[in-house]
Amino acid sequence: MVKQSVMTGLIVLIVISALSVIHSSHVSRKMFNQWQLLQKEAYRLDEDWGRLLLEHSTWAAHDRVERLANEQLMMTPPVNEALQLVKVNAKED
Amino acid sequence: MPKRTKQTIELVPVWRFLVMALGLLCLAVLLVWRTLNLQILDADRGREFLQGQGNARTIRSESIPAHRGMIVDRHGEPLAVSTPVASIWADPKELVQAMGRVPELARLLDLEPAALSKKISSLSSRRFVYLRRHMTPAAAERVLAASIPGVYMQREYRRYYPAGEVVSHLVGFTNIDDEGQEGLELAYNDWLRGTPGSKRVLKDLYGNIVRDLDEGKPAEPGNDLQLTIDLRLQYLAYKELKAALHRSQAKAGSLVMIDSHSGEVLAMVNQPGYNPNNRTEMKLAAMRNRAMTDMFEPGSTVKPFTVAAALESGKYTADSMIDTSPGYMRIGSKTLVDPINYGTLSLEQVLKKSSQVGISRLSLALNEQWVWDVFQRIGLGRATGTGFPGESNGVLPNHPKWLPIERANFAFGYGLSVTALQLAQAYGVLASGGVLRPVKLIQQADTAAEQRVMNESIARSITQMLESVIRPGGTGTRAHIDAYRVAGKTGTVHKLGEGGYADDRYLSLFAGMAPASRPRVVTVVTIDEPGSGKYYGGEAAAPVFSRVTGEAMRLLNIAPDAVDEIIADKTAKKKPGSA
Repeated sequence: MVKQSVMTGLIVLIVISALSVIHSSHVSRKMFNQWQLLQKEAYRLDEDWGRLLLEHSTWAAHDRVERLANEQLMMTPPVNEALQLVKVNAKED
Repeated sequence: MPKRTKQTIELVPVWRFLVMALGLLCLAVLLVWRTLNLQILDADRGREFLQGQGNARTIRSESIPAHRGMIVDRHGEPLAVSTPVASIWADPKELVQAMGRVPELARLLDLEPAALSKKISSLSSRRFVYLRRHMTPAAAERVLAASIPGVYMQREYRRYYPAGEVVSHLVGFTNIDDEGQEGLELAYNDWLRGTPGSKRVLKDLYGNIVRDLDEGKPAEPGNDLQLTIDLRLQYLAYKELKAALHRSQAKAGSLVMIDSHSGEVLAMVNQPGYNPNNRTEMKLAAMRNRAMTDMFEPGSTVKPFTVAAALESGKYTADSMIDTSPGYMRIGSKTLVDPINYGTLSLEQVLKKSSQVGISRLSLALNEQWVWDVFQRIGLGRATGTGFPGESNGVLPNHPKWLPIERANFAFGYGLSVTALQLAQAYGVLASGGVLRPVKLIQQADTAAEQRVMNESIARSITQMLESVIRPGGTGTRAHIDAYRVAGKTGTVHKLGEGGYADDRYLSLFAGMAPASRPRVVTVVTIDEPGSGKYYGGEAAAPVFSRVTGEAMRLLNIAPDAVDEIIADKTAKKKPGSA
């Protein structure tokens, strides 16, 4: 009787262990899949970042900024008469 | 009956049964032994060999490309960036089975269909050929989507240079495999380059990836490299130098700007240049970073250092007078001439007028090693230590016995060779009040310690003398900057041609610093063989100095120091003539 119940217990344990192996390998496969998707996403974002960086430096190119400042905003470097002198007591840097 | 049975049994003797059983058992044991041997016991020829052969047929190691580090300017603006691209490659052995789809493939790849078919059939025994490299990832995805057998994609990185020609000489470029070929890309290749990772994958008979076996070794991205260049100043210098070369019809030119407080190079440009993003029409001559690779005789630009040697000797003071009459001087078989007879000049006026006679008199009155010694201390003829590929060290020959003509030549900058960067570093000594600060191109780089090489009061008084060069009557009036005091020196050097110095080929130089009251920026401009008649340093090179350094003053937020000039202009209410 005791022998029999020990056997049943062991069988149940084996079944539980087998099921958990199935479960964990399923989880691992799912996570692996997710990891691969995230890697793909990271690659895509890397791509975007590179493109945006280049786009940004094109828009902010100095010749473009200078042209816009000159032509649209009518900006010029100040001439001597336009400078205001301010007296500072502290020693200048 | 029992008897019969017994007889039958006796007909098959027990030993026969035993022999058979033993024989079969032996075979079984042999089989088990063999299996055991292959699977477990014999590692070399059994288990490992078989496992290895099996893996070799199914497990492949895929390489994961690594991101090459960025090159950025001092404010973090990108100068060289790696962006992901895709290369399409084919296994011709597989692809020849599907020749019917080649036109479709050619259309997707934007290639000539006939040329593509020819390429594939001629390489049909190979297992790898690039069809098209560095496509946009989106276009490559479209090619893959067509699922043509034997066509595969490989991820790579391609280098882009957002600033293009503006920093091309300094940054250099990489080849198609992302390995540095020129400039800092080459010098710091190991630092910038990433380490490609790898992962193991299981592949089926047709080479499709069934699954990834492990996450493998991730790719290690390369390190970023931060330059001391300020892209705003670099762009400005590039624009002005290019315009000046166009104006003067010159052959080439360079500009170097350094921060005299730190020795950091703020701008370094050369012309002619090239576009590193499209190198199909690149000429070899346009590739050189002339400011560092090309040597020239510095001519009059070293005269301030000869005067420094005179002050150091103690034989002369800032108030000493030199008699330059009658305006020429014979040394051996050579005659040195000034444009006119200047009469008696102060040291300041010798520099202001750039008098050959005055400076030669000065050098002949000194100990013969003195001038060489000063030049040597300020770093001429010595490597700057930047590690830039192809950088010249310059030439500063020493003689056991100096002839008078050699001493005179040396004093006004002939018989030695320097690079524009060395000259800028030397002027940095004057700007910093006598301290040699080794030039620096890379923020992270360790440079040699700074070193006092000249008495502070001597450096300051030379700087003061050099201010007169820019004032009316000096040779460098066109280097004037509104609202700032400038100190500098012009130079016009006869170039060496075949059989001696050429009469009609000049190098036009200007080296200077601003603001003169507290120098912050040192700029050296060289214009090589200006045409159009205006070959003097004061005419070809000084205006470039004025524009670039003037803008640099404003961009670096340096307070104007020519207060008297500003007040005079404001009271006069007249527009100052722009230099």
